[in-house]
Amino acid sequence: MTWLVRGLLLVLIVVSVGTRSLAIRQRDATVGGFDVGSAIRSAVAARGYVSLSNPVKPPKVLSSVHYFERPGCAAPTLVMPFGISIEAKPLLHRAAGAGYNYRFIFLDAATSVQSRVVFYAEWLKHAALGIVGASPYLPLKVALAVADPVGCGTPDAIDWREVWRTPPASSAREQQFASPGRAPEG
Amino acid sequence: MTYTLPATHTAAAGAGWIGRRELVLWVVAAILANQALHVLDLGTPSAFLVSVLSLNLVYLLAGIVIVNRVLGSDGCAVATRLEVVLGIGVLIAMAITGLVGYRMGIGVVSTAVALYALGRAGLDQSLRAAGAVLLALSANLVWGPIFFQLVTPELLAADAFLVRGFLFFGGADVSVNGLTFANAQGHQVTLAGACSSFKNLSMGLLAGVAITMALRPRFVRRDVVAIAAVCAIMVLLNAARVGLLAASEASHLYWHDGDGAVILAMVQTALILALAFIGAHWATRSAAS
Repeated sequence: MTWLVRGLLLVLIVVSVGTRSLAIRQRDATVGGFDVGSAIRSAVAARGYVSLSNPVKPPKVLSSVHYFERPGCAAPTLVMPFGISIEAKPLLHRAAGAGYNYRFIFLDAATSVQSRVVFYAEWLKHAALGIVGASPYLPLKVALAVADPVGCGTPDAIDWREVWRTPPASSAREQQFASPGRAPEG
Repeated sequence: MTYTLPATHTAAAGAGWIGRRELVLWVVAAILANQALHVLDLGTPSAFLVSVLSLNLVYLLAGIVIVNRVLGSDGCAVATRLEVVLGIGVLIAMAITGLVGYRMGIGVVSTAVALYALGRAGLDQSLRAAGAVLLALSANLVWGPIFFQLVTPELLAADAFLVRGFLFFGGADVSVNGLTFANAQGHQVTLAGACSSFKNLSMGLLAGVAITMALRPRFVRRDVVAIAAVCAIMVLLNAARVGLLAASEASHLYWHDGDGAVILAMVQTALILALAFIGAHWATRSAAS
């Protein structure tokens, strides 16, 4: 009986290491080619909006902000990808300045105030669904902060969920988006 | 091999399937092996070597202390049937959480094992010590990050207050607007969470608990003070670091992207481990006198 128990424990360790190793490798392969900047540009272009150049260049963290014009708006709309544990508004506020309203979007959730709990729950839900292949989204912990100019009327008509549905396009890794490593935030 | 029960172990006896120490070792091996997958790069031999050399020393120490404490536990104790079933259940849970591939699953499973080790009456002190380190490890893997998610704005505000203090006493010409620090040359830094001083609290806790349990298998009252001091130093060190990043563009480049980042990491780790060691000794001496 002792050897049976030992054998069972050994098999279970091998299975746990094997499944985890496979899951990590699959996730890296899935998100390894994902470029959130390209995904944002595609979503903006799909609606016919005109993208503008960002005056801030890498490695500054604000170089990740995407600017685009909307008809009837005096100022550009700004979109910034951020790791869901990051406090995004002060960062985006540096780029946008005064006169903007903010929205925070992650997968199926959209809020006017950044809610880490909501986004974390959303991530957990889709991580669980992803096990059985039932989530339509990439397993990323990257959300979007959108700054709309005040007085610009209705929000943009972009379905931002397309960002996470976007197929891989470059070689950036999830971790780079989840915690912008070269950002000037320390 | 079948275990023969000593007379002292008859009450909690199982069927003599496996020793308790061995069972716990299997469980710990599963936890540490799964955790290793997240910190080691198995892609190529050179990448593996680099990942081994850059291993977090506090994690490494915690793993060593856990294994050492389990090895030092009662070798005659026999696992009860319930414990064998629980051990198998833990490994099944580990395999299931492995399907998601995030380390928080390891943290949840570790918490359950640690609480059992700490809460079950009759376990020897060495296993309890291993449980304490495992609990501190799980705090770092899952509970600390969850807590941080819940109170990020408040912690960042406290962080900004500390950084402001460092900049004031350091004489830096930096203005503060909420979480953003700006110098006269236009260099700006915003505290956004990734580098919050409080994010490393659970690492300080893990260092303090691991060192204490390496020196002796039980806590004394003053350990709370010693470990809290380690955590406080961890927070202050990081606040000082953010102050350096905010001081100027050149300072930011050196301390964030240059050699300074490596120096800071090494100094921080060495200091934390040394302070934890001194603190544990101080608590021991205080308890004895």
